[in-house]
Amino acid sequence: MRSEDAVEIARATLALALPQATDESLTRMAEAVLRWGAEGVEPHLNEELISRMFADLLALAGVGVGPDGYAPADEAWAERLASPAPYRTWSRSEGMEPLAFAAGPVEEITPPPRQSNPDQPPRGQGDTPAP
Amino acid sequence: MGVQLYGGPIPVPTALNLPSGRQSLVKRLRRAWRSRKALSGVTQWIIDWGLPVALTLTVLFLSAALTREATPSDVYHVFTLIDEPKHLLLWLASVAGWLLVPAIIGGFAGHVITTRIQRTKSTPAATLFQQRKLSQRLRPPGLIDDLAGYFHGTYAQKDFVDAWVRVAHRNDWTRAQDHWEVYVRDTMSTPQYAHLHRRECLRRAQESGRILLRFTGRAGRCIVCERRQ
Repeated sequence: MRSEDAVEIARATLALALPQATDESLTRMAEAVLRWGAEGVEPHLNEELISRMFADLLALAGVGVGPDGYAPADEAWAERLASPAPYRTWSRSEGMEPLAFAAGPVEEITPPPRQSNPDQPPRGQGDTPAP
Repeated sequence: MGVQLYGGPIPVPTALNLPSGRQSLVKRLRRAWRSRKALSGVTQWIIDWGLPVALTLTVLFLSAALTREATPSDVYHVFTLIDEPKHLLLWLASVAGWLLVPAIIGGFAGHVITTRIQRTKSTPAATLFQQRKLSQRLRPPGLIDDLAGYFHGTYAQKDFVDAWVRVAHRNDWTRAQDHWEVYVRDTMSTPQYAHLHRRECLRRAQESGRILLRFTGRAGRCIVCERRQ
């Protein structure tokens, strides 16, 4: 391992967990992880987003969950991988499932419900639709 | 619950232990020392070599003043290659001067000036269109995170220590902290992070480290443990 390259460090680290992955897929995964680390998404991850991120990494690796692919050491935790978030908050790479993009976890960016304003006409009478 | 055998012969604990408490002074100093890798190359050189050189010269000056074999002025003249040395203490200063004066003037100063000139036409992409305020410039460098603080942190932090400490290191907080610091330090020492501001360098290295080590930690693996076997 050429230690002077961050991608090489990441590849060597990923190869431990995915011994069946190809060199090219490990490189794709390493580059994606370094890019996601720069995007500032990690501090806002919740359970579903972590499962989605794991699913994205496994899609880049081209392997699945199991003895021949990614084998979590904790069986109880592995069940969480079955319910990933239906969106992502990080950039998408080739090979990842196309999903909606959100600026952050949905429960954090959902706006509060609109309060009724008696000065505004009711909906359907010429006002612009809500975003 | 039954014994978990995935990831190695030592079973994975079923719950994360409490951290042992605040790090000792020695370990905090070690963490600070490792965190210096977030600094620019010039600043690291000053810490790694400049401070020991300054300390050596101070000892020479004080030795001259205390032993009375030479005055501090004699030491200065010999160090800067103005006068010839007359006895052992001044010979030490003369040799140090021959080695250090060209290195400091030619090497260090030349590098700093060359780098500043080159940067006028090659702004790193990470800093494009950004504005660095005075408060940001004066802000002291950060330290690699103490994982004990993650125990009561955000969901992402708690999940990380669950994977890294409980699963990958079998509840050994000390070893997990050591290997976390080593990983972040070595990541910051790569060209991808060379042109980043020190706070940004530390942030990116830690966030990408948490993403990566969470993934491998859940499989019960630690690259530092593997390399040190």
